[in-house]
Amino acid sequence: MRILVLVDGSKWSQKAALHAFDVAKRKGGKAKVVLYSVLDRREARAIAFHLGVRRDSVDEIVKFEERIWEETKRSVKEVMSVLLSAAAEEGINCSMKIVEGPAVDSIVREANSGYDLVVMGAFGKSGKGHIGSLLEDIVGSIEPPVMIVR
Amino acid sequence: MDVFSSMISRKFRNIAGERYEEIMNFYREFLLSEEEMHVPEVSSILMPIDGSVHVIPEKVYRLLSAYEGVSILLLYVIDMNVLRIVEGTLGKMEAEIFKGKELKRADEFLRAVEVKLSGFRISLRTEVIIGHKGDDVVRRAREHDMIIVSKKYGSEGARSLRISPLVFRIVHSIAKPVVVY
Repeated sequence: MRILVLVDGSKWSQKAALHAFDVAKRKGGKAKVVLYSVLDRREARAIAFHLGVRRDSVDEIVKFEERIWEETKRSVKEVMSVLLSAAAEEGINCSMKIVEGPAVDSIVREANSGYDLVVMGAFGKSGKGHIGSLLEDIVGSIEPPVMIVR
Repeated sequence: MDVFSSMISRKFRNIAGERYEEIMNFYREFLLSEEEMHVPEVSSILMPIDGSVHVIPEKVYRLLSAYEGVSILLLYVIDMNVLRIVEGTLGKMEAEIFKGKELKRADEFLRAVEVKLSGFRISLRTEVIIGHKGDDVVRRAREHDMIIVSKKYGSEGARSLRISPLVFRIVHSIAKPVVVY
């Protein structure tokens, strides 16, 4: 059984990973978990532009963008590595995959590449709110069942 | 799963270092609490079904096979409002014929699923109700630990949508894991 966990670093995605590990443990050694994260450079660009527009030069805004981007990558990698070691300690076959690009397209492509289950948090990094379009875009476009964790 | 939880908690503490408590105070909503790190035991699963659900995919059965010893309720819901409309517009006799057909379809579907699940080490119950596809599922979900529902559940009036609005409502209303297939 192949299980894909969508990890954006939020606490709900961490919870999703715990639920995926639970399913994997129930399946004994027959499950493989992939922690999957998509980083979209456009988010860093947008934040840099909106928060950095009053800076002295374009160079500074670009540097600010670069810093946000590096921090974003570092933060997701940290969360992933914590989850990976938790899985390893429990003897769960788990790996991670971090890609760059538009989130929905990448997730849909990956999820439709032979997984038996996708596990995701109901909410994202901005916290508890409306369960919205991302869920519709993903659940509506992929073939495997999706476990939504709250 | 508590082993995971305590380990993850410890590691996040390590990343935050001395700032952990301070960060917790300001940004509590973004951090997993001890309670949230616990994966609740799944002993009972609710699977709502209706006439929009034509098949339960193999991958759902594969997932169910992970939950040995669990009790599963297959709840087939026939829409009470549709029956009322049929009775109001076409009369009582037509409504009875319609109801009979729906009950037969429910019975056939549930029997097919029962056959598929016969080799599983689970306790299976089936039930057919005439009621509200949203309200009744949300209410009955309180008695269960997980809900598994088709993205087409309750989509008779909106077949072109990728996910039925009723499924959105169920996901919104139930603070338990929901598997959508």
